[in-house]
Amino acid sequence: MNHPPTGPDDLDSLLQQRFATRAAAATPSADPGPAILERAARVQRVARRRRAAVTVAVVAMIAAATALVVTGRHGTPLRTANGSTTTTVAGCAVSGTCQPKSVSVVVVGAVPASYVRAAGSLPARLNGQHVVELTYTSTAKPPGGTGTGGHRLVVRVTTSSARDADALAQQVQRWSVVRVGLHPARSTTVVQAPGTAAQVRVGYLQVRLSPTVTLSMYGEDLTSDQLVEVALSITVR
Amino acid sequence: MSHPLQPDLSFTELYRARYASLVRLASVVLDDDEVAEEVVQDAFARLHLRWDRVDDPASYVHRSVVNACRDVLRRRRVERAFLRRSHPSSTLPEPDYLGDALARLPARERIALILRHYEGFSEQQIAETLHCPPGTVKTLLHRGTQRLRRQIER
Repeated sequence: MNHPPTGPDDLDSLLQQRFATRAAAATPSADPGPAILERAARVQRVARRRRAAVTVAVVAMIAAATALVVTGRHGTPLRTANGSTTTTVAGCAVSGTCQPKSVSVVVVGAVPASYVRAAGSLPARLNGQHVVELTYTSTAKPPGGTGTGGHRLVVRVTTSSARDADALAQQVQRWSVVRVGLHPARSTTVVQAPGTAAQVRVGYLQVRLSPTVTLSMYGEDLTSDQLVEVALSITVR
Repeated sequence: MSHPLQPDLSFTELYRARYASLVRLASVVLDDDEVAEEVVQDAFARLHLRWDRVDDPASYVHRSVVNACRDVLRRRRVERAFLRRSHPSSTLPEPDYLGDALARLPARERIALILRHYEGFSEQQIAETLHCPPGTVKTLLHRGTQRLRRQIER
């Protein structure tokens, strides 16, 4: 048991003594050389897979959105072009609600082996006014087909023009990712693979005070058949 | 480095020269040998991938270990706060005044004190490691010491 020191010198020497004792008690592996090289190789494989993996980009184009979002009625569902509150953009279901100063967007997308090179756009409407446009693009096919892990889901929210981007950058107070994880399969065409939300690791998350929010999610246990749900919240001044 | 997966001689030399001492440093900071080894191996793995682009590998891996330790300490702080809420009556089996006080220090203050008293770093060296001005290091050391003293004497 350590006893309280009585003065400044006591504390300094106690710290030195404690740190030295703790360091001496540490037992580094005798020769973990191969382990570190294996780890480096694994890191490199993951990085390579990430670069090559299918990127699903859901781009929410907020065209002159902020003012409209601010004036939106409390609790108003985020209406889509076809009048429903949930719709699909190239395999991604999008829904959301509008609060007086915020908009929440939920994107549910399958990790997209089958959506290679697909693209689409969804103009969403709030009270008949153009508020949010969502587009989806995907550029590459994952190496090795399904079930290899290392898929990425990227969600971008941005404006449609530089002028809007500047305006939005000044208006947006906060981006936040409300939740991210596996979504319970709702489609008969989707096979729910083993795995829980807890198994999905968020490998990279970039949230900036700018018109763009990028969420890259990397899951070791993800397969192409799993639905991924990402909920975003955007708050404006 | 000839091939990314082949051990480079210089990398291997640095690894053999610094691995054990970095694990000891991380063990002092984290008070957990296993996590310390993980942190140091991760740091070397990152260095291995960036070997061609890093000017000063020894400093890089040292900073990398310190930063990773900070991340672990921050996560641990959140976990402790959660556990305190979940199990408010939990008590330590035996009081360890200095250990408890060190564990409660903010990560940067704890690391600054360790770099000073264990590594024997100057304020300038600590500032370079923590990427902050020397004045901030002075403040970290002073506040850390004061906080330790207050907690121990409580």
